[in-house]
Amino acid sequence: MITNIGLMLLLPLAAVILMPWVSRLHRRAADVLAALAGLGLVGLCLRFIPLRGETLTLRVLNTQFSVDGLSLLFLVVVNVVAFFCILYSIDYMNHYDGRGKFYALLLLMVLGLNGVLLVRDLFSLYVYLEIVSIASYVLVAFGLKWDGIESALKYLLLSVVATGLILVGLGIMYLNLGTLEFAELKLLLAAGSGPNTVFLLAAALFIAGFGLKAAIMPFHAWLPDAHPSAPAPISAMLSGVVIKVAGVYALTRLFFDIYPSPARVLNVFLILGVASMIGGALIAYFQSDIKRMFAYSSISQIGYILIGLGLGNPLGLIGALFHVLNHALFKSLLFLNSGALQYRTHTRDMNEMGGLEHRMRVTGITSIFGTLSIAGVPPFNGFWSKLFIILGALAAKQYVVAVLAIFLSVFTLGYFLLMQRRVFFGKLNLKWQDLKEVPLTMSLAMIFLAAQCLLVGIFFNEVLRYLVEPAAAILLGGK
Amino acid sequence: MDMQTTVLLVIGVPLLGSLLIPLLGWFKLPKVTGYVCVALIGAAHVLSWTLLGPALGGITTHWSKPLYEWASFSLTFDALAAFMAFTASLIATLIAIYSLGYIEHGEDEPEYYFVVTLFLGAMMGLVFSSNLLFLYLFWEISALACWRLIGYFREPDYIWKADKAFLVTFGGAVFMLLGFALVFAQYGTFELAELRGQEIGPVALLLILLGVFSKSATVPLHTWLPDAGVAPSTITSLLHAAILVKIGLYGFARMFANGMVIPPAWETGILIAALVSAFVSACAALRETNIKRMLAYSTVSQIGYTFLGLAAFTHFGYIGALLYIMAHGLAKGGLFLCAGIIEHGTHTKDMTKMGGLIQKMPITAFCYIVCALSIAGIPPMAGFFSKYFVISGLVEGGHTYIAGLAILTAVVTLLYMLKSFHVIFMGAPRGESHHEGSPVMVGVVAVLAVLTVIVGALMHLPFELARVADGERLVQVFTFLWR
Repeated sequence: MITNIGLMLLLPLAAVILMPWVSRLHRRAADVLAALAGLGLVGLCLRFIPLRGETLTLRVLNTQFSVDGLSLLFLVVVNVVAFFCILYSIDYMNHYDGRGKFYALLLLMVLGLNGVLLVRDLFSLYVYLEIVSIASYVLVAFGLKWDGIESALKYLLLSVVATGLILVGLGIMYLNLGTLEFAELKLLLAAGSGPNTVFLLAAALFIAGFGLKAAIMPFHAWLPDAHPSAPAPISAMLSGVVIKVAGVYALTRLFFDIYPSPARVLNVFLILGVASMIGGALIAYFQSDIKRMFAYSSISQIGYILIGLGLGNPLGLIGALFHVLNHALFKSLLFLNSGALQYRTHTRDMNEMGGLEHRMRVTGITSIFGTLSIAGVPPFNGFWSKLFIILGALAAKQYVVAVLAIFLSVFTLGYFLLMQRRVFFGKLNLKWQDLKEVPLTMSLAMIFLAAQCLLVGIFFNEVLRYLVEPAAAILLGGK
Repeated sequence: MDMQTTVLLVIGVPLLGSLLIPLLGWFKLPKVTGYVCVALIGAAHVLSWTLLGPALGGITTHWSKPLYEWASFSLTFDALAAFMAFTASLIATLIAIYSLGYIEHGEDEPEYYFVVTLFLGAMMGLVFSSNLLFLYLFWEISALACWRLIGYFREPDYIWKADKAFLVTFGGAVFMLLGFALVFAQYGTFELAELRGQEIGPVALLLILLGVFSKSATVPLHTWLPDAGVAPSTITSLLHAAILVKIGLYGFARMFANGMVIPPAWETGILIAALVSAFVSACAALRETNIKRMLAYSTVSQIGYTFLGLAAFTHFGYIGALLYIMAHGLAKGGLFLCAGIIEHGTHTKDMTKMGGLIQKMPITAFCYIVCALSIAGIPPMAGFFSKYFVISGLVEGGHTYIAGLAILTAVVTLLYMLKSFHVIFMGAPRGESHHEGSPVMVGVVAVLAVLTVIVGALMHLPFELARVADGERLVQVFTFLWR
């Protein structure tokens, strides 16, 4: 079991290294290798589930890698979504050159994400985060179109600011505490009253830095450019997974596990969360580019997650972590839907589409699943996580937040119905008379993700028991 | 078969069986889907017959499957649930049969039958649920079903109206969920059985009422319902008579008449809201010239009437409200299906362009007037008894003025019903192409009209069931006090 931890990193690494050779063997060989690697990773991380939150540690060359409940939840999210993105890419990448390079970068990104989740000291976390970022910059610009290159540059510049802030934060911590290992930090911070001020200073830098990575509202400017211009499976990875691991995971690890935060830090989360939830949704409403709309709605949903964290009570935290999982599923589904639309219509402008459900049944129906999940309509998965967050808000007596969260979920349904009306539901735009459904693997990826949205909603109790509650137990460890 | 299996089958057959229909569509068998839909809904109805006996015997049972700390899937069987399941599935079966003649074969046919079956499945789930969360869950499944169905014809304007219906009912319902969450914050449970006899706060009450009133299209949250008239007539009939707007009423009955307690000061407020809704929309119906909008306003008015019965919190009021759900369902279902035949025959919904249709559509005209008189509360039709009990329930509760105004509303109802009959069927015929509907359609309408009279004649049977349901209320309140 412990060697599996190493394999979570070595398997993608091996695939990345082999990819240039394998992709020369046969046109499809790269697809097979990437899909096998993705499937292998899913299998590996599912093997950890029976642990139910027990911590496993692997120590290599003085670096510690371990899996606990919190890492496991995120590992499952990352690898499951990554596998479906790879599956989807098999047909989707027909539009692009260089599929070997694409898969290598995608798997490098997965490697970085798994690394972030497995390491147990802040500096290694920072290093793996950079691996993710470098892979992402290139992937955003992968289409070699101007908008992609421009937004990759924007993403790069803002990320450099973020990593700069994080690095300064790390410096302050190291200077004052002499270590960056989680376990030691935890002891040191719990022991004295002195280091608290140090931590708070670093905390401000971390919130800004990881907040930039998570695209929380005042730090969000890069996301609506970067996510839409990437190839669809990459948009799905970025919006579904990367912002959560790079932002939310790091924040939860720092502010709940390592140092159970005082109320004023939590209030910062709450305020940023409300701002993102409202701001993202309002801007999303006015978009006519389908992927930009989804990108802004990601900001809004990250807001929900932050609100759950900021509430700080068990219901809110379970809700936030459950929403991480749910948002990864439905947002990657929606981005894959938008990719399917772009694959056939070569446009992202919703006003040019219309009535496409009659030509693209699978895309149409799965997008309804995504719409209902994101709006929190039962029995889909988004309902349960939002319910937890709202119950948490009431338990914390944050009535205004509860009302806003409820109101925004109606608003979310409103702009997603607008999307449905423009794109799928309605009379067929005659321009698309001869359109066909997307090829098999793209359809399969969408169907599987849609099915998961429904199944997680129906078997929410099992998901909570095996994945979310062990993770929440880590966050609540200090209380 | 034991009771639990029967109840689970009544829910499961339409809810899970509906998934069969898209598969048939996938295998290029769209023409079979209609029959499968009728078979599934009909099976649920036949099963609900077997529940009537135990219900009349006063048996109540409760099953619960814990899923999470505070979320358990609980089902309750009692006379109220049996009554509602029977009524809804009866009308839905008839409407499904009518659909066979009404819905044209086409690309969207499997979707239509799938969503209709799912719709009834959600209703059955809601009827037997006694956990607030699952009540909400089924409530929303019905909302999303009605979203697809209202937009069935896919005109841009229709889709907008479908979205509006979805947004209003979803919006109301999530605020209701917030109300449930407040109740949870106060009492720590979502189980109605455990909340029985507990008084809830005014904020929670208002939020829950927002959901109930938006679903049951009560003024001022009613505007989506007349707009929903753009749906196929079968669907409007289903929305008005069997399922959708009845959900709010049933939810109110389940939550308050037989469960949580409303702060006493608010009871009169609900009565006044219901009365205003009943009267204002009756006046709107008088002015309306589009036949389906006119009938929709009439529904809003009748729903207000049913709320009057429920919110009176008296024996006769409660019995009257339950009978009202049945009588109104039969009659309004019949009226909308008549409207469907008329629309098929004349290709218009504008009543001022009709006239003299009685010559071409004698059976439809006869059924229309029977159902219209039942709505207006003329004896011996079923509608008379329900209206009578509601009004005497109001008097029993000491709300004499409200009862008087309710009678005034009944007069307005008679006025617009007769006016519409006159405009549509009497006078000189216009146009040539008018024809009677297909045998299936006319047959179903006739069955509904006959049922309206029969239920009126055999009023003691549903009355007995409603009385048992009312009795349950007393017994359980008593056991609570005794404990």
